[in-house]
Amino acid sequence: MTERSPSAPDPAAHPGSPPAGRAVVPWPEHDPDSDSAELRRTDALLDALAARSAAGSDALPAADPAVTLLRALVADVAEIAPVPDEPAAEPPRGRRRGSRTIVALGVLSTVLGGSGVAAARDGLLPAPPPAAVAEAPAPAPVPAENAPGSLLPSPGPSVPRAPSPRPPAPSARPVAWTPPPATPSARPRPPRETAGPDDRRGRPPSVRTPRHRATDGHPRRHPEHRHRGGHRHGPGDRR
Amino acid sequence: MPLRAADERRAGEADLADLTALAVQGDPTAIEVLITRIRPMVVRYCRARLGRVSGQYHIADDVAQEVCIAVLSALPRYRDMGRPFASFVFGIAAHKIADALRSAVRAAVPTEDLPDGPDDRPGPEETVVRYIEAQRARDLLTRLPEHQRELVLLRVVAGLSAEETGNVLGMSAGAVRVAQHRALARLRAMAREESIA
Repeated sequence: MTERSPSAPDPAAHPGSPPAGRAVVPWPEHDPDSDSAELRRTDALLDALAARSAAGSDALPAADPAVTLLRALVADVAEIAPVPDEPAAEPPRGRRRGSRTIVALGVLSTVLGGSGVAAARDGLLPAPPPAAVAEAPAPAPVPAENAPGSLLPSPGPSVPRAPSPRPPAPSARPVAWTPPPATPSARPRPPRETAGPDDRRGRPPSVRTPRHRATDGHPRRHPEHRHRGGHRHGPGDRR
Repeated sequence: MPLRAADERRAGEADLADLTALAVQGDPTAIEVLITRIRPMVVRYCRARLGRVSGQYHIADDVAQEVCIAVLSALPRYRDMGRPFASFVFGIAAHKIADALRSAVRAAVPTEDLPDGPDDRPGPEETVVRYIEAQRARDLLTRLPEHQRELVLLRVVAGLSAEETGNVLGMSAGAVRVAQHRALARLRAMAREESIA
């Protein structure tokens, strides 16, 4: 039994007189460097260290290196942030972020307004009158691979273009998207009316409805053309 | 016996054992006061055991928070077996710290915004000196036997009494006093050796 009953005398208070019936305990009477006064002093020292209010007082010996280090450790771990009672208010960083957002949006709208995005947006607007088209610099001919999707402006020399014989597309339908001015080509291509395979068969340009152009954007994907191609390469042709 | 809001002050002054008994019964005010009372001890203990990671106590504070949550979760199952409630709390804390040490990683450290106002905390030189001394204390504590290191941390950092520390470690109060005396003497000797070297 190593526990001391509550009524038993404290061996630290009465060194040299172990309680009757107690087993041999290696402390404190058999420990040469721990008499009761030293034990009490150490206990009070640790209590003072634990009670950090006395950390700077004279109760702690300043010349004791162990006490100095333990005091530094206690001070280092004692900075505990209090638990907030309620959620914190909007931090001031939010205001700064808002102003930054406004500035960024302004810069973004300026950049996009002067670039090809604005030109793409203009394609949804009603077409200008033919006179205005004739006066305005026309874009260069469109390469076949970039024709519908290219958003780049036309920095190169432009040739005035005659008004298109095709009737203007209805402005209320967003599918009637007019290709924007395309990239310049080093070698000018023939006009659009003779470029596609449908035109080679002598179809008038008005037969190509804007719906086909809007959904596919490429003349080779015309449903009728696809059907003819499949029939030409089908098993019946091999026979 | 549930407590009303008007009795909060009296509950705050009540003994930890009484608070524990009320908290086990599910009294929300007693639970709040109990956690408010044990949280600083747990935070200091976790900080002393785990130390700083990248100069911050985020890992230790997270572990302390996990300890508090675990105490809250285990509170309905707590049975008073004659040992102080602190032994129950620090038993949980020891397990949580062991888990954290096993899965210790160098995690990213969140940083706060730069302060807009004056900082009342100690200056850089004082802060660095305190960090160095605290780290030196941790290094010396790691050279102590495990039971002595645990004893010193519970007595000095967690602020437990000799009786409470003995209950946590399974020792008598007298054995705690002798062991702490030996631990302090050993720390003193090691610190002097280091300063001489």
